[in-house]
Amino acid sequence: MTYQRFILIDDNEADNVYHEIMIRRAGFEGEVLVFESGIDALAFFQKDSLSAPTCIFLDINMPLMDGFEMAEQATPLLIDKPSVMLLMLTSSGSPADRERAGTLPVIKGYLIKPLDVATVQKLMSAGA
Amino acid sequence: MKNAPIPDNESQRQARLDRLGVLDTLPQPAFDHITELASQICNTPIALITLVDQGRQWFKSRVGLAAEQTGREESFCGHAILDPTQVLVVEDALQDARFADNPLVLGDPEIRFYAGAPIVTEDGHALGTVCVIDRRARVLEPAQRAALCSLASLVATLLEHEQLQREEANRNSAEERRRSQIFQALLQVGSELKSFVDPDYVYQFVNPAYLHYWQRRPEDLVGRKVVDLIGEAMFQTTIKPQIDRALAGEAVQYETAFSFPGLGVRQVDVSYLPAYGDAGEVLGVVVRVQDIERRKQREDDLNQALASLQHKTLEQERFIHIISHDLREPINTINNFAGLLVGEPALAALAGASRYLDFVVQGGRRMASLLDDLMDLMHLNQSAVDRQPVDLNLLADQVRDDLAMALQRSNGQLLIGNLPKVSGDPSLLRIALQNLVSNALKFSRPGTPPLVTVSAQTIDSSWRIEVRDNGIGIPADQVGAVFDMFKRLHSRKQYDGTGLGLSISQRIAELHQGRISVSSEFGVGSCFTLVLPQPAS
Repeated sequence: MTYQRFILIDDNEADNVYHEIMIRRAGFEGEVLVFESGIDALAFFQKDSLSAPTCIFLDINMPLMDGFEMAEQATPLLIDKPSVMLLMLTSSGSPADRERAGTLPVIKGYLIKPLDVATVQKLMSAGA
Repeated sequence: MKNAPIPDNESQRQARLDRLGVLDTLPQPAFDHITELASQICNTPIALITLVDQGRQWFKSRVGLAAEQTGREESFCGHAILDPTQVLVVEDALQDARFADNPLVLGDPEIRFYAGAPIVTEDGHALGTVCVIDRRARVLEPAQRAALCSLASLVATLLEHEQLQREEANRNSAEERRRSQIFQALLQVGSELKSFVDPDYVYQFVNPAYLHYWQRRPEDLVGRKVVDLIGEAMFQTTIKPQIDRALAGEAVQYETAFSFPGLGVRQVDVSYLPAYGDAGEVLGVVVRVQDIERRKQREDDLNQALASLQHKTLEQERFIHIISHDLREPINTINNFAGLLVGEPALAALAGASRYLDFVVQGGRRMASLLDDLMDLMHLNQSAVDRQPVDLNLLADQVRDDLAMALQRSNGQLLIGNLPKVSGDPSLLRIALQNLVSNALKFSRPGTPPLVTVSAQTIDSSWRIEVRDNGIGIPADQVGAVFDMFKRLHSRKQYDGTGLGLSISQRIAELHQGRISVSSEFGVGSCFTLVLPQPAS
């Protein structure tokens, strides 16, 4: 399985731009979708078939709906989709956040910002 | 008449007599029985126990004579005591040159016959006699003489025994008096209010502090009922139930506020303690009232200060939390994009641009590590130590991996000896060890590649983990300052850093009941030792 799509969910525009650059520099040429709120992303998940292999990076600290809430609400949509990989991508290294991420089965990983080329490449080769 | 002569040892004899303490005491049956006996045995109308005093002879007991004492000069006994070993017998005073014209012979009681056995103390002093007197001349039978001697010796024994008893009693009463003074002082002195209340709720004792607080005189309280002092309502609802509990054998203690006539409302600590008699019966209740107004006041002040301190600390922690989170985003953005610009060929062409960019990158990186350290510190203040077995060898390997870049950059060497398994919080210990090793690599001498050794030993049930370097060392007068927060001994240009690393490590050591010590030689190297006490099994 090769990821055909990366989705960035983060209210910080600069981070989204930077992370997309990193994804591109890692050699990815497919689709990169950016959502600046969890609500927008959820709306997208509800209408998308979610059949394409997708890697999702989800921030924690966001206004209105934080990353954990978003993950909980997206769980029924994502949980039985083996082609979809949901990873937290956050600036919070706090053990409490990391622990909470571990309790949600839909969350498959926990990365600390910023994303770098090597990490993306590793993900891509693991997903392949 | 020949006056009774004064013996050679008169002053000692007199002293001995005085010491007996018998002179002018009241009649006692034991001595009266002896004179009775002497009079009967010798068949004389008069029998006496005499004690020869200065200028007089005094009768401890007498039969057949009204006088309590007579002059010494005309006394027969004054003669009798001259020879302590002999009974003086005068068969007919009229025929004896010493006594023929004695007023006691010529006049009342008209002595003709006299026999006196000296009363001799154990140390040989003749103090007086047991004597018998008749108004007619006669002889003393040998058996009578022997009996008289025995009686005199009995009197001596009795007198000496009495003296011992009296001295003992005196000693006891002196001791008694001293003890009573001590107890009085315990009760009277001091600021504690004390009283004794008997089972009828009557004050038997109150101390001066009690009187002072109540503004009463002793006669207002002692012998009076407690209810008279505090009033029926309060007595029935508050005081009596407590006293009853104490009377039932319970030690009652409570704190309350009470309005005293003398001092107004005071916070007091009150105890009612049962007092027991010899047979274990409750004699009454000891009431102790301690004025804790000032202590309470201080306690309140302290609690207020503590609360405001806790509030401030919380605010401070929240503040640090906020700035470290909210600052991290923009810093990350700066670092991310500054990193992208580095190596842009178009920028390299611009004069000065790459140098300026270098400043931006360095500043951003420093700000990020400062935030990391602040977060570490904040977590240290919040989190409890999660103790578990930690293999320091594994931990040191992780540290080596984490510091791979720094090792490579500095061309340094990190030697890790055989390290023990310790008990502690693995993530905290890793931060501490990493800080120490990172410092050791950082503060190297220009031109000398850093050589850092990590070793350990166990001394006095403490693990001592040493991180030794061959770096620049610390001047002796600065050694104490290295653990201070934000303390940096060098310019950033020389050695990068936030100045928080060592205080974080020290805090971690303290959280493990340990400490970090340092020894250093300027220009030669430093050795930081993390001391971790082994927990008691």
